[in-house]
Amino acid sequence: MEHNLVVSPAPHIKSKFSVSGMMLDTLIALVPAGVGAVIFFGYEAFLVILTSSVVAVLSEYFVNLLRKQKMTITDFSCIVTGVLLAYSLPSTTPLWMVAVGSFFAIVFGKMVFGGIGFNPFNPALVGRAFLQISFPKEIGSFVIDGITTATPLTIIKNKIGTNSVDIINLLIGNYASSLGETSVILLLLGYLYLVFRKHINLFVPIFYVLTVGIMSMIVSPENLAVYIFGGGLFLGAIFMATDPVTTPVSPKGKIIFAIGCGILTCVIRFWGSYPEGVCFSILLMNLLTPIIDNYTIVKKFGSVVNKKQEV
Amino acid sequence: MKQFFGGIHPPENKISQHNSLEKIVLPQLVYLHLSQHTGKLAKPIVKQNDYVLIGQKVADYDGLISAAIHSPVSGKVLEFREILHPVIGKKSEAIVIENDGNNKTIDFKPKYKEYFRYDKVEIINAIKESGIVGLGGAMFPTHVKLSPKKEVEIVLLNGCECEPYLTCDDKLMQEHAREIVEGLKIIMYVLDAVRGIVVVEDNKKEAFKKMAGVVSRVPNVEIMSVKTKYPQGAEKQLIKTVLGKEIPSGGLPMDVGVVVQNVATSYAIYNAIINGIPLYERVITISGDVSRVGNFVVSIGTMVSDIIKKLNIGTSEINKIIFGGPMMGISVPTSEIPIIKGTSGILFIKDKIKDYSYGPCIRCCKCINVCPMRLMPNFLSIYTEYELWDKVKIFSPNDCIECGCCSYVCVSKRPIVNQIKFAKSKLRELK
Repeated sequence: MEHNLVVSPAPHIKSKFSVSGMMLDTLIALVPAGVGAVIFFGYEAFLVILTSSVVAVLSEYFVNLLRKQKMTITDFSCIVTGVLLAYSLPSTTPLWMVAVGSFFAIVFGKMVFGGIGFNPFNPALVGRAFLQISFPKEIGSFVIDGITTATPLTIIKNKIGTNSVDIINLLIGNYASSLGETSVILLLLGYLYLVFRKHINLFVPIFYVLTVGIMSMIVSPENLAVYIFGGGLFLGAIFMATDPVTTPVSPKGKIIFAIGCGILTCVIRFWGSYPEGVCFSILLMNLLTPIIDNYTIVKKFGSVVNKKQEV
Repeated sequence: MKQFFGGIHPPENKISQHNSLEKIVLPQLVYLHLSQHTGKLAKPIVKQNDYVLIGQKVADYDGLISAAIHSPVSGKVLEFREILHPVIGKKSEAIVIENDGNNKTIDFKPKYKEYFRYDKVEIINAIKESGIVGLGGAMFPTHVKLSPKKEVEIVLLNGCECEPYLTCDDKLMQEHAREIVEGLKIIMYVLDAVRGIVVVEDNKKEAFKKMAGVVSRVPNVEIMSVKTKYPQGAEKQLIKTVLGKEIPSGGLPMDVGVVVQNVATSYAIYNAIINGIPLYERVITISGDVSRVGNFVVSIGTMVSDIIKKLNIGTSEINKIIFGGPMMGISVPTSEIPIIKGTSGILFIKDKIKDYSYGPCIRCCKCINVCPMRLMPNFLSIYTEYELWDKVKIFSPNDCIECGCCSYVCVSKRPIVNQIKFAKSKLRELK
């Protein structure tokens, strides 16, 4: 025994939590929405998800090799990025375009900054923003049941008619939209799972959606249902505004972040040139994360002086 | 019931909870460290080749914050030698005494059986002469704690024992409930406190029952069961849970009119005042991945290697020895280290962690959610890593109680609490 005694700092026991475990749970939470995507949009949806994930893993592996780093693909975070990117694209996106987006997301959204933990922006959203700016036509065309239609949000934005999708279909997800963002119900399953596993802050998605709801109610109450259920709001609120790396750390900071995202989303939707604002609003708020962190330091134990209590 | 913020629920692993107290036969040699307490080293009052008796004072307190040390054996003072210290982590001077096996004791004069007839200062002095320190692990000299500069109304008797594996306080409460409560009465008398509360975690049903039975017959003393949660036994968290008061940052329990004592300390005070026996032995838990576990009464100064031999502990597959519990205990490089007053347990662990490397912080906030001091361990960890001491200061590392919850939950396996300890010492240097 004497010769192989290990000396290490306390604590000598560790929890079972790990980065890969967290990412695996996120992937599990994303499964229902993925199944829904394949049901609504057919096998093309599956191909988009597959392409995006595979390219994401290969890109990270490529950077690891190039920089002679320890392999980081085993923490599964690149797959989460790949899947999230796929979920934010229409099912008709050409696969080469998906691959380019996924490569850009991993390499320029994450690895150039030093990999997981150091990226200032949500990599999936970086990829999505890159594709939206570079290929606006392809990213803006949506097909459901073989017919090309505009998303409910685009219809309202460009005033090319009234929204024909009823609230039931909005909730189930049976309408033209990006892959994974359609079904509120399936996304909420993922939300419940992540909250149950204590990986995300319960209140962030709630505050995000509430903010959007309140602002939409004031500006355009007749289309409230579309603004809340008809776009990428739930996908963004549940899986992107809660991304640990790119959002503030303190509970208060997280709420500020969520409200900020909600306000920016509405500003872009109502007064900007894009019909959808979730992607850019979260990216803009990512930019503010360090400042929010600076101003929301948690009040430590004993910093609130007690009034002398009677015994 | 009020709760403190944060905390964790590690596997309890109280393997030895059904083992009754057993006395380990005195060893051949005892090694009494001169540093068995917070503060100045004790100063030896015996010379080489002196003959000492059980209970005889061999080293005296030196200065205000210090404590006396007594011999647990009768025999000859062999030498003064520098040996490894379990807490300091380097060699420190110790008195080596050879046990002649005659078990001759000094004449224990139980002078203060009716302690309430004596002056408080006299009782505190008797505690000082008995070399009693905080036996929960902090080893702060008890006589100093019992002479607070502020008025104290409440005494909390800490029977939480929130560290996994350890069961020594649990067993002590089960077998010596009366003596422990008697000790609490002495503490309350000395402090002029009007209320005593025994606090036991709700996983120690048997101990709670025994203590409640005794407490019910004592006026002004009550018992309270609190939720099992680590670090429930930490002073500040205990006061928050029981009384709902937060000790101001940088303050002491007496700032809110409270003194917290461990049950083992209370037992030692009872022994010193009622029986006149100074502190030279204590209860420790032997546990871990070994077949022989239990709660043992051992002489202070017993080598761990002697315990291994005496109890016939199979240690062939053991690769870690921990002084204390697994959350805050200290792992040692050899078994040639003696037990000191603050040692509450020795754990023999088969450590399966092969890789101590860690990844970057991914800001998952788990550490913020568990920190019982409501600090932001993630920032402390990152800024310490980059040695940005001005930034570290913003996040008050000195408020850290070093409970280790942050390291326990970290998904990237970062040694956060260790980094904070480093930051503390670095900031002290820079001052």
